[in-house]
Amino acid sequence: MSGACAVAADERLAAYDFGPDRPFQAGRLDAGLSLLRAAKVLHTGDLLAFGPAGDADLELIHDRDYLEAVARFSADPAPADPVEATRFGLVGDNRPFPGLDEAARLVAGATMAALDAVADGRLTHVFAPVAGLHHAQRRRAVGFCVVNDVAVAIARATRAWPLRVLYVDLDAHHGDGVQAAFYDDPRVCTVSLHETGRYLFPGTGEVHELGRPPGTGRSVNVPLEPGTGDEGFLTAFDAVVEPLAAAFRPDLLVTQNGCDGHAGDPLSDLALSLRGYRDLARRLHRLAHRHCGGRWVATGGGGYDLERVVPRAWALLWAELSGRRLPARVPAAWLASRPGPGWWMEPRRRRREDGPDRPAREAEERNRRTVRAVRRLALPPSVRVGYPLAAPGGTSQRLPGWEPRAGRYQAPRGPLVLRDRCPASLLRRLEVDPGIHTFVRAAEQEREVLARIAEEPAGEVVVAHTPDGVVVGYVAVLEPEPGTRFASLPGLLEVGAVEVATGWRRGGVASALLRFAVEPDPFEDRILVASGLAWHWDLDQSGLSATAYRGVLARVFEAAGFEVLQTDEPEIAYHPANLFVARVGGRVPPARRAAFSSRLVRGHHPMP
Amino acid sequence: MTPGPVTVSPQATVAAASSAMRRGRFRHLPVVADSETRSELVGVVSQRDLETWPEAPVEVAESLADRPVAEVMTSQPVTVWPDEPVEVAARLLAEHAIGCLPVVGDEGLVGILTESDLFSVLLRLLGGGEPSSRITLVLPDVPGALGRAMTVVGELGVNLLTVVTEPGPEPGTRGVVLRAGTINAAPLVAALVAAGFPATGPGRPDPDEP
Repeated sequence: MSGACAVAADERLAAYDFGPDRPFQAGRLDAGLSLLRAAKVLHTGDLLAFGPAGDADLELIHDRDYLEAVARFSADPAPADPVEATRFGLVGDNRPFPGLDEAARLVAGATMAALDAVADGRLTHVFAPVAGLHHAQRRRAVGFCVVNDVAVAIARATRAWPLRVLYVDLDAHHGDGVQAAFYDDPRVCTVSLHETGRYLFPGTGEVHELGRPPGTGRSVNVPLEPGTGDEGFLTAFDAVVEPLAAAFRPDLLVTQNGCDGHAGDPLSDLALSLRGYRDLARRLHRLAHRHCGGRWVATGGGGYDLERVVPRAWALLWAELSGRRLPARVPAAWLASRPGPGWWMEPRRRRREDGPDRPAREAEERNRRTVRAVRRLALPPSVRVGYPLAAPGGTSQRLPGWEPRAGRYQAPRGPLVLRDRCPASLLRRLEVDPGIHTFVRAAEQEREVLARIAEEPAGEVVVAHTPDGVVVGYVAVLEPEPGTRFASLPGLLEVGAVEVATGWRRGGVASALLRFAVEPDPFEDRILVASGLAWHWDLDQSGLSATAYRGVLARVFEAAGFEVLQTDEPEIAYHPANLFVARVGGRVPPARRAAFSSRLVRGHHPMP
Repeated sequence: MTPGPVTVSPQATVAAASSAMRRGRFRHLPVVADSETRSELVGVVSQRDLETWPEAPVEVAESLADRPVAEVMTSQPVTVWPDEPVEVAARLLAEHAIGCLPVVGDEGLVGILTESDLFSVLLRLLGGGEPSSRITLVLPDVPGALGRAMTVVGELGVNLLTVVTEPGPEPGTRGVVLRAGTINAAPLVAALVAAGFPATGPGRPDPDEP
């Protein structure tokens, strides 16, 4: 499945070396590349040529006076003015060394060459191991990162080509510098999975850092607990990254594969293993092919267990990306100079009989809450519904039965059949119009997604299809995801998604579907809610402003007996165009209505 | 504070004040009577003062919109001088359970200080938003303890962005929150612990563990 691949690194990058007293050392490059060579998975022809980045590119991200200061301190590292050095962050972790400027420019040059080669189609995947200096800010060196090579390369590529870039940051530390560089850019979506900033550097990366207009919703953060481990990290990744890619529809994937979340790493406590990093690399590879036309640049990022972890993590990542097979054991010749275990990944540990201990359970529960919050904020409802959490089934029973119904609707484009209580078996037989764009890049999933919803205990799928069986719209009604404000109210259901294929919009299909969907009598015993977050809306396609789109959406719901309600539920309150609607069935008892109303406005948001 | 805030006159209608708040996205308006020489503060209206109560008859709710602000404002509000320290302002807000303080100087109203301004101050004081590692300490509340702990930090050459102390969890202790400008904070935490200062931070999430 892979095309041409390359490594964007060579021995010159060993110059990016903060010295033996700091964890970012030249030994990383030598240890890593020598292992790839010893394992015979890296050949001379695999190295991508690159040169130092010039001012024009660096100034896309950095201020000139900062770059001048870096050059000055690089020529003479003893600061004449310690206050200036501190202001630019060129102290402590980032204390300059002779040649820092050239070394940093080479790092940025390697990442730029990698993105250029993938963007113009010469290569499919490139691995840039000494890259991913994701903390560097516009005018400040941070956390061993002097020049933000990833941000520079992405900024350059998005100017040269009309690209949408998905940046996935797996480093244990929040990818703050890259996030900041594209915080208001709708064409670059950054997602960072990292250890929570409660104690850990840099302290940011909270769930509610979502970006700024016009890039709102394009910054995504998944802060995870210390002790998360492989399983927890992979669960979070699956719940967020793949659906996010489906929603964002990127052209190019850039990843920061920092392996400092490994259990042996001195800088963090995420407790991952090399096996976990191998599994993550596999998922990224699949995601690149499914959603980005294969275009993938992986950067090495952080990782400070230089003996056991970093070289092996690089080898596993490069093997995955290049499709080459590693030998069964780490070559003995390499081990001779770097004593360590012969395995590439830790042997599988047997599951502990007594199950996870209390702190581990607490971490798990917190991560679960975090992931749910991220999904609600970052994923449009149709995508969230299409990529459900593998959560334990709902507690409520199926709605009391009614016979499946069929109706007709004459849309301007042609007649449609409306159907409810669609069994999964029928959904699996229908075609799905490609204009249902949520799953365009994941064609094999289109039908399956709807079928899966129909199999949920409280899930109802109502579809509009053409007489020859092509689905052009659907409404999904589900239980609200647990942990949300209205979730625990008995009898409450959520309209999880209303979607109409692009070619069939503006023909009243959504209204007709929704009216049809809520007709059955059992809905008179239920409260139905739905929310719309402005940054999920397809404003480009519709040509509407967020406010106008809100109006359209409100009318669609109002026509089906919903009412627009004010609420201070934090997700809704986040943006003035966000919409919250509810339809309280005629037989809902007054006490239950009151309980619902009292949750609309709480006046304060208790900390999670 | 916000210097030169939007104000209303006491004769302005409730509806006008309400729409000024919506436009500016704030919740407090100083009410100012203009004289020749200075703008005289006569009161403050908050969003809550302007809200109708839900059970009010429709006629009352409608007529309220046409009433002058002077009828619903808080007259003689608590104010501060422009050169007052921020902790004094914070204490006034907390003691009077209010959401804003008009800032009044010799020349009349010069600004308004709200809860949001205090959040910004808090953020600056605690160093949130600047890349840093968080370390917390509980020290005996005796002279010299904080100084000795900070010596450990200084010896490692770590730049501290913020140091905040507060009364500790037990009597006779002080809690200290540091934000250290380093990605590699574990050695600092270890050095503090080794020097007898129980510290919590990256690499040592729970001080009770061995």
